[in-house]
Amino acid sequence: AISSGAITPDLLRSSAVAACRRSVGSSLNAFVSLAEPQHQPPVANRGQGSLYNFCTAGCDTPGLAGSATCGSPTLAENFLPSYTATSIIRLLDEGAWLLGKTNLDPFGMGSGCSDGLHGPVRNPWRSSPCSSSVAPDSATNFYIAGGSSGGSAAAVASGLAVGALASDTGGSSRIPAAFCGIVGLKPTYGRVSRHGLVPLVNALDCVSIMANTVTDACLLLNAMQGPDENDSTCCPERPEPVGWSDELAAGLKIGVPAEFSTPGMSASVLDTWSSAVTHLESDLGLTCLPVSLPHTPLSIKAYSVLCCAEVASNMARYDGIEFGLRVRDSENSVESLYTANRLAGFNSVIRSRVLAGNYFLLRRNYKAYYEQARKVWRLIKEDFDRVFQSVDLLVCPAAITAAPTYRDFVQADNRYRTSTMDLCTQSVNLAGLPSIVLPTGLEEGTGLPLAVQVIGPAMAEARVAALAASLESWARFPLLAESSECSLLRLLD
Amino acid sequence: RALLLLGPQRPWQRLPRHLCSSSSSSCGAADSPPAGRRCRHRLVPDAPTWRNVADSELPPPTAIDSDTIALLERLSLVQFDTADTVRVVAEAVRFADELRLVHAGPEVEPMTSLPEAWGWRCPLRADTPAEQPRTAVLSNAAETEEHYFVAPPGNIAAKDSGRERLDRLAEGAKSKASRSSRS
Repeated sequence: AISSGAITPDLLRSSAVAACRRSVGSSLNAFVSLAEPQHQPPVANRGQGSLYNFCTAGCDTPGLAGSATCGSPTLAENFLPSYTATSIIRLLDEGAWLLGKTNLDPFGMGSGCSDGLHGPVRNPWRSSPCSSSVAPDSATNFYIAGGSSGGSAAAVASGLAVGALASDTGGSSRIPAAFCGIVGLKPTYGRVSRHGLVPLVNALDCVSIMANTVTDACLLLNAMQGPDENDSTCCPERPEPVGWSDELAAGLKIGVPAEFSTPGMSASVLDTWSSAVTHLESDLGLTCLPVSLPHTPLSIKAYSVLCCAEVASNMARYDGIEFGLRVRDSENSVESLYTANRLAGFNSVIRSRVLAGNYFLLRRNYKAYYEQARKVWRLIKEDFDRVFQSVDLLVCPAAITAAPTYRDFVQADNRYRTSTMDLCTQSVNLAGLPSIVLPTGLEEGTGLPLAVQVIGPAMAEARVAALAASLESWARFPLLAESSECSLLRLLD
Repeated sequence: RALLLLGPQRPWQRLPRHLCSSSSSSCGAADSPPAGRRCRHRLVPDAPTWRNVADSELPPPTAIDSDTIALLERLSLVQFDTADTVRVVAEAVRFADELRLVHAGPEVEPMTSLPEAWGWRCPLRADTPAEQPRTAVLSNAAETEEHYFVAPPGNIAAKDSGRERLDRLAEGAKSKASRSSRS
């Protein structure tokens, strides 16, 4: 409709904004704040740039000047960032239209998007948020969107946004993408600047992308990637824009890592993985080889130590003096005020990670836990390095099951959940590798999305995207956004 | 700036070609699977490949006692607040105990960061001051006084939070742990 001129970009944008406005506070709970006019692309850029039809949402951790962040009481008041994340600036420069900030687990900690200040996010697959003919679910009987960037996934899956940003430290963009039936792209560590991203684990955090198609995800990546003088850990050279031709996918050697058949993996996820590998081998004639990443079972344990240790360090800045939540304290000492501020600002998940992190960093524990975790980190990375000498890409699951219900999910605590759900995702963060998750089927019975993950060597996004795009066209997954009444995708054609 | 995007178009209005059931292309009639068992690609393991690590292989579990609670609270300036938080931290430590089974000798160098492993330069900015308006710097502080941040006096140890509170937390966590292992 845009190309034929029947709908102008401005009409598209105002429809998108209206839909988002309706959705704030709705049961979907994807958006927590709407973008102000000053956040939109400068007038000169409008109607130009590679993203001029993109209505995007930003996860609540990349800072946006003038907009509060993080899903936690700590920063819910007394924090208006005066800076805007490089990733967002670059999207706006390309003409993308920012709709607002999306819901998430506090500071990105969690795999269910259930713990945030703004409440849990519903997986749009359970019921259509825009349709009034479907009776709403009860307060707890819905499927979770996954976390921590569940709001972004729900926004894209339901068609409220064409693309969205997320943060991925241990799987926080790929798990929700898998649960919500959309594409999740985690770039190589350092390919996209982290300037402005509220840090969880500096060594592992990646600004990641959610979109309904691999093509859209790559368009967003191309706009954002590249060196940034404000992020010293960014890649030193500008990467090539990600693009591919069909030939790029031909002749690739695919590795199937045995250790990604994990405890708790459902039969339907195994079937999904199997179908994808079968298609690559039998239909496309690609060589598929068994590979081994022997330290995989230890990865989640190493990740838990490294994550808690960095969290303990990164959360130390939230003392309420220069910014953030500050309570009235009768005792009037630094120790008592800081403790009181942090008790009020941090939920038990954050506090337990800080305390566990400091436990691992105690002099008496440092070698046995923290240094050991760093050694295992090295072994994990070397596993991947070795495997990519004999294959070009890995194909494996992302989430170990389809989306659970909220009621089931909250039966166990956050720590238990992340330790059992992130089994196929966090090792990719430890190795810093690029990964794309895409939906390839629906689960019998529940009708929930199931996904596969494509992992490549560092900076090999083009190769990963080529295979992901090939799987995408084979799968012909029925995007929820195409059926939703608020869908923007319908208007873009 | 030209984008080299020659990828596939969006899959509009098409039904899925397959729902998630096992693909039959890898199963010949001659090797039909046993009843109830799906036939998957030969490279996809049907069962988890992870070895179950028995509790007896691990070092004895650390109890988070009241001294440790006091130390961690002091270092973190974060309170445990409930016995449940103590339990969660104890479980986090137990979860990490498996790392101690790995024999990683001195030839395995602990990782510091990926950019370092990849040989990236990670340049630092020049050490020159950047002008910032004072109002911007102070704008997020809940309390300021005459253009200063306000912090309470330091070097005052927090009032002894009471041995009883710490002991109660430690005890509560222990009983939760033993209750869950009994069930």
